Amino acid sequence: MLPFGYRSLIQRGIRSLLMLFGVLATSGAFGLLLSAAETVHVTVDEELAHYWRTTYDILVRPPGSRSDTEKKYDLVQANHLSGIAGGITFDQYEAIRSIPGVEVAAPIAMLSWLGLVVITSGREGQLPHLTQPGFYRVDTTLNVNDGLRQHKITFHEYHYLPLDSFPLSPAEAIELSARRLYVIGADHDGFAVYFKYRLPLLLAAIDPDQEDALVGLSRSLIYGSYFSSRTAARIFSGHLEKGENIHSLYIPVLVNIHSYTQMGVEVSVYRLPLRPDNATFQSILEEGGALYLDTVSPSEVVGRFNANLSGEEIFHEVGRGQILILQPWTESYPGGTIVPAADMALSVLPRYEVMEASWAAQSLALKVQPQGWVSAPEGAELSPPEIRFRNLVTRKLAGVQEGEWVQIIGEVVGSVDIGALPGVEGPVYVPLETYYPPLVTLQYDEESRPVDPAIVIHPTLNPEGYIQHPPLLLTTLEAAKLFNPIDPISAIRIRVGGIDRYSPEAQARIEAIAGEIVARTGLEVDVVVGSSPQQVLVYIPGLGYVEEQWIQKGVNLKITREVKRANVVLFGVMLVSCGLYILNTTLVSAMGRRREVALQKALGWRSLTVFYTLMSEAAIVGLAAGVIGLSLAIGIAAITGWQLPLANAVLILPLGLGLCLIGAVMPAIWAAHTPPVVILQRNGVSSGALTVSLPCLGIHVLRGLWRRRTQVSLTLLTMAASAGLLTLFGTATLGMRGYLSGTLLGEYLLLRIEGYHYGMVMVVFIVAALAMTDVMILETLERRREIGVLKALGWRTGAVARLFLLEGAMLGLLGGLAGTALGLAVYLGLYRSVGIGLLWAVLAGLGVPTLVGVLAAAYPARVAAAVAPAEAVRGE
Amino acid sequence: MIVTENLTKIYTDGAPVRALDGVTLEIGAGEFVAITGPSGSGKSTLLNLIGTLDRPTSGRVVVDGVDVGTLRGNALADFRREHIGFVFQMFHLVPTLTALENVMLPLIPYRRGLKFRLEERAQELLEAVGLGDRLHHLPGQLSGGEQQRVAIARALINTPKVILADEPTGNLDSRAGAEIVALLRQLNRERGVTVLVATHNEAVAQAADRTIRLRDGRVV
Repeated sequence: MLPFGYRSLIQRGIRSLLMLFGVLATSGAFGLLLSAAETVHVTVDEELAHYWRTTYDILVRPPGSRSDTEKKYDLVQANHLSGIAGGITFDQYEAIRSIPGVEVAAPIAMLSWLGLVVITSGREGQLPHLTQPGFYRVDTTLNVNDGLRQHKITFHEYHYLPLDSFPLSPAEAIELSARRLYVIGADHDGFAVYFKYRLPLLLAAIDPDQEDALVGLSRSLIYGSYFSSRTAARIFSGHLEKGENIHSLYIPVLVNIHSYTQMGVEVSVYRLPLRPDNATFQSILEEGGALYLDTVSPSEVVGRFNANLSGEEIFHEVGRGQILILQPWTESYPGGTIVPAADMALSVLPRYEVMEASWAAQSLALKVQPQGWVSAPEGAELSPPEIRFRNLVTRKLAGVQEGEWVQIIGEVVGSVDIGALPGVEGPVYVPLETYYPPLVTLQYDEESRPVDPAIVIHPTLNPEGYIQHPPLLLTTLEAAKLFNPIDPISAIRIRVGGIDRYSPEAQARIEAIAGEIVARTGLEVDVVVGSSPQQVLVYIPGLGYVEEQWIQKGVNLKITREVKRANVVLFGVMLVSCGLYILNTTLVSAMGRRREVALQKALGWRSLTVFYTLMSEAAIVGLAAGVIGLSLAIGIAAITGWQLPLANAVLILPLGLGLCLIGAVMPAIWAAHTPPVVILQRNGVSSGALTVSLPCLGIHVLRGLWRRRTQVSLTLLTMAASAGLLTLFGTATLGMRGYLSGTLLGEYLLLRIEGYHYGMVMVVFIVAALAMTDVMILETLERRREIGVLKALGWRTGAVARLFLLEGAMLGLLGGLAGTALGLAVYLGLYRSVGIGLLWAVLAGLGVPTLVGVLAAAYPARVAAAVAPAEAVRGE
Repeated sequence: MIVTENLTKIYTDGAPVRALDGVTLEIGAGEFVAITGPSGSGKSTLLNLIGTLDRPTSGRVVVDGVDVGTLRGNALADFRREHIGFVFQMFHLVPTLTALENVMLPLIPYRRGLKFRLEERAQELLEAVGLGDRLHHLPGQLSGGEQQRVAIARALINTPKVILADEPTGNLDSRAGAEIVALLRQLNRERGVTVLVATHNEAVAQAADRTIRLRDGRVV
């Protein structure tokens, strides 16, 4: 049996070859697809497991702090802390810490904006020492570059170096200096110009141990030491000279010297065209002092000096044991003067307004509401004018009465450079606003013109600006009690213990703990493990459209699910396309052997014998192709470095065999039941098909196709199936791509697996094209007699070739139409979403079969055109 | 050996054609009978029905005492293989098989139960039809006459009681045709096989023991 099948196979030449080739291509393609899919699967699995864990697993925020946008889209705002001025109580914090499984619960309490007066004389000899009597104006300009623009604020101060004797009492001089006018005594040897500015700094409290456990803060220490039990916070109350109460808070402070923006300070010194005598001075005082001097144009530039202000330079002289004298910040912008005050201020970013949310395309556009203009303090100029996006929320320090003053003495224990903290970049980072401002990149300007390349927008020193500057001063939670003994904590970052890698149980455990936190405290809880940054477009009036990385929760699981689903679809598509191809090849080959089978039947072969013969042939082809396909797949996988698990790869053998056998069953049954009388029928030319004098070749082709509808429907089926599978494959791939894009993790994965997807599409495309070519060639072979007749009737070779090309195109288009519709239907059934990518898939589904139809017909057309007219009249 | 009773065949694809119309005849064992008549008179149809390649619309065919109309499926195929040998006008040799293999073809799947050695038998038969030196030639390498001899040898492979030959000389020149007729006659005589030849070649008809004439599907 088998030897005969083998011989007949060998001897049937081109048809066997085509079939073998088809099955070979299929099994090879299958191996490759398997390999690609496996690689994708393994890559995705590994990457997702690797990128599942985030710096913290759970984020806890005060009640009501989650916006509707966050809730609706499963997001966590990028700058989620900057809008929160406390709200979590110490009791709640303790309750959370006592939950079993909570390994780290690191609280962060945004305490207050504080003013730090920095006075430095600059480098040796850089700044002038003025000895000549006169009226001088000193303009100090702080400039901050937000990446796009230079923001400047200039303070005007005046110095009077009298010719005459000192005109004021010391008390009067102090009072005057509060109004920007300084009088230098005659006993002084002139005056030295210095850099003097006041910086707003955000003070935040942390739990030293927990923070260290969470991010390893102590490892970023540059000098000094980390918080220890010796550095306790305390409060002293006393009286000022005039009798006002003043409270001095002594708090341990860790300064962060990391530079988040480019800052600089510039000092310009001008001489005013005024005679420096006391009479002029008196009249100036009468005219309004500094306010009058603001109107006087300087006559001469004495000097202009500038310095960069890096974090290191600001805190240059700050080391262990030093103290920082800090005042509560009430103004909206760095001021030049020290004003004692009692209010603590925090800036709150109002909620975003949703401009556009189209979640199918993974895009969310928001608008931030401007709150007015930033007001410059007296004697200062802002350029350019700035929009206020935040509201300063002020509250009294605990125990401080109306009219009492507060000063905060920061006892510096050491300094850290957050730039040295490990592991906060990558596709799954979660916001650590304590150390990093949110990443904001300008993508489109106000007129919606793209900004290329996109510009990263840095925070400025403006507490009312859009991006909040990270706190440069860190203190302990214990110190926070002095500011707010009840609920100063803005957020708690929680890490669950005993988990080292992703597993569904680990995920469930974290979610259970999150649930427990909600149950015990009623706080807002977000599970951020398995999240990834998601691009959100924010319209900032006055700036344009910026992209922010919000946190998309649960992305990891969603991606895992999606990739698995897509893999199932792709695998199914592969199986179906391979199976169809083989079915089609065996069917066509069986049809081609109708007469041979009829002869066997006439000679007395049983149907079952015919069936077995055909099946054993299929088995031989399947096995051979499986072996070659497997070797091919292994070879290619080795060259490309793709994963090919041997256990799966060996599946190709039974699969090739199985597909061949399954594919052959129907055709074999069909062939086996061929009535023997077929042998005596004249096949090929059906009577009406040869009306050559038709006006149009196209109509002839269509009519011809219709008359041969049995055979043609088979070809059409292949074309449709191929087109459908191509469409489905394309759309499924696109669907997955669409799903992946948007979040950083998804895009990162996409980058990793993109190549394989292209590879897979190529392979499926080639299999589809091969199937079509195969059918076209076999079809042509079956029609040699008809072609012979056409030529005998006087058709030119070109006309015959055109006939076949046209037929190929028509079959391709018809098949493509049917297949694309089918593929789309299946896709929409599976995914229920429509994207722009679909259009491409449809175009490919329609265009490719047509093109392949023509290309596949090219060879048969050549064969056909070369048929001798004698074939028509030849017997067997 | 062959009996037909009121055999009628109507082809119904397209306009109904009454190819055979109540043919009743009887052919004895060992007879050499020619069926003649013009094209379309029903010769081939009659042969196909007797050879069980096709089923009659009505009527009965009895071959070697068996009513072939009662046979179905495997039984029919077995009957065909064991009792009937076919010789076609177009030879219908498998072009990819050698002469020897073509002769063996009917029994290749069934060689296990044979009481003789198939290859030897095929070789003997080819020698008997005068092709002892052409055993391993492909059909394409043989002349028309030689191909038809291969076909006759194939028809004899299972020692059938009946050989049905449909225009065996139709594709041959007169000399090759005469040789084929002589061969069939010889086989009929020497082996006692019943031969039924459909032909419109008068020479063939003259070589027959008896001639049955058909016209418009009826015996004349």
